[in-house]
Amino acid sequence: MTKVRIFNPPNGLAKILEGGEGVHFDELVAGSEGRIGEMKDVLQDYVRDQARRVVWFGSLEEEIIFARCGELSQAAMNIADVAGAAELEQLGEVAHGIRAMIDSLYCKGVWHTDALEAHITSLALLNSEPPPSVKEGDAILKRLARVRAAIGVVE
Amino acid sequence: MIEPQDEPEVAEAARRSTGGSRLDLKRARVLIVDDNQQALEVLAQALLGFCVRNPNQARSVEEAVRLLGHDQFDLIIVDAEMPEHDGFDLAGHIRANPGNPNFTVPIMLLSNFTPRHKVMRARDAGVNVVIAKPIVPAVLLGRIEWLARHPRPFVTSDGYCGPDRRFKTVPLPEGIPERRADAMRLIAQPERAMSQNEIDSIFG
Repeated sequence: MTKVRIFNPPNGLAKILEGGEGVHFDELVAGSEGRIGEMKDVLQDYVRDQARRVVWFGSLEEEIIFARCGELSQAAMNIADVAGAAELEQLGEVAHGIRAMIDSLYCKGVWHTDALEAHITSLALLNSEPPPSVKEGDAILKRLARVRAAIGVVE
Repeated sequence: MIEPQDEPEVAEAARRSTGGSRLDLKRARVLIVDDNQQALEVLAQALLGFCVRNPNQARSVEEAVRLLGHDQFDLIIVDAEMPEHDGFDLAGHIRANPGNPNFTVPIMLLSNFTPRHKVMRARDAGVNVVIAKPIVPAVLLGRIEWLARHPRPFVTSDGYCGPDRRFKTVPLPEGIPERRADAMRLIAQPERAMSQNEIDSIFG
């Protein structure tokens, strides 16, 4: 017979609610946002570097891309992880799409080279200087989302 | 179709739910785990902004396990997606060792891909909260406060070790919309990534 025990563990976080030195929630959030904002330049360099790595993957033979799609997914995830903090949301959105397509490959066997190429080309375009306008970037993102939906990529 | 909630709305909901509370995180002992150095630094800066003193950082599950062996933490924040061993593995390790001082520590899992099956897997691994990336400081702090204010009983059994997963049927605070209805509608399309509110509804 399965033995089940239910108990109340110590709540180590309770201490953050105690004492008179607490700081207002909104001030803490502002402090946090300020610190992350100071990292923007470093994060932008990192995101653009990772984007170049993804684009390099796109230049390889299809069989090699397929074989190394785990590394490609990792590079895309690196972008998606911090693109918001770097204020490069559109790059993050395309990277998210690349990662979702590769994840669908693992889960469902969905693999479309043309769709992947379209994403990687878009990433290169959004990472170029000067980049497309925000409006053009939004149009690219919408079309890529439609492509992913059409080929059954889960997001 | 349910659209994932926009980040600013989630952040605003997190702000509203706090009711203007004051928090003192100076003494909170937090371990953060992420293989991506930049993401780890963003998280560290977010916590420093909350006045957490020197959040402990680990770049891998193995490094985290070493720290867990000799330090006691109040909160663990771990990335779900890491090469080799990931955040689910770390949660499983922590919940599988009743003799470890961190056996019952709250675990917060961060993920930039949150389909329902992944959120459920996290819950079954004994994770307390899942947060959808990218990190929004207001959401992060809101969930930390929620963990502090609403500690859950802990369950140990042959098949599961972790926070009690049963829902509490308490009235919702004023101004907070019902979230369970979203979860019920979500069942119709379980593979789509879940919004932060939908994830929260799974964890009660």
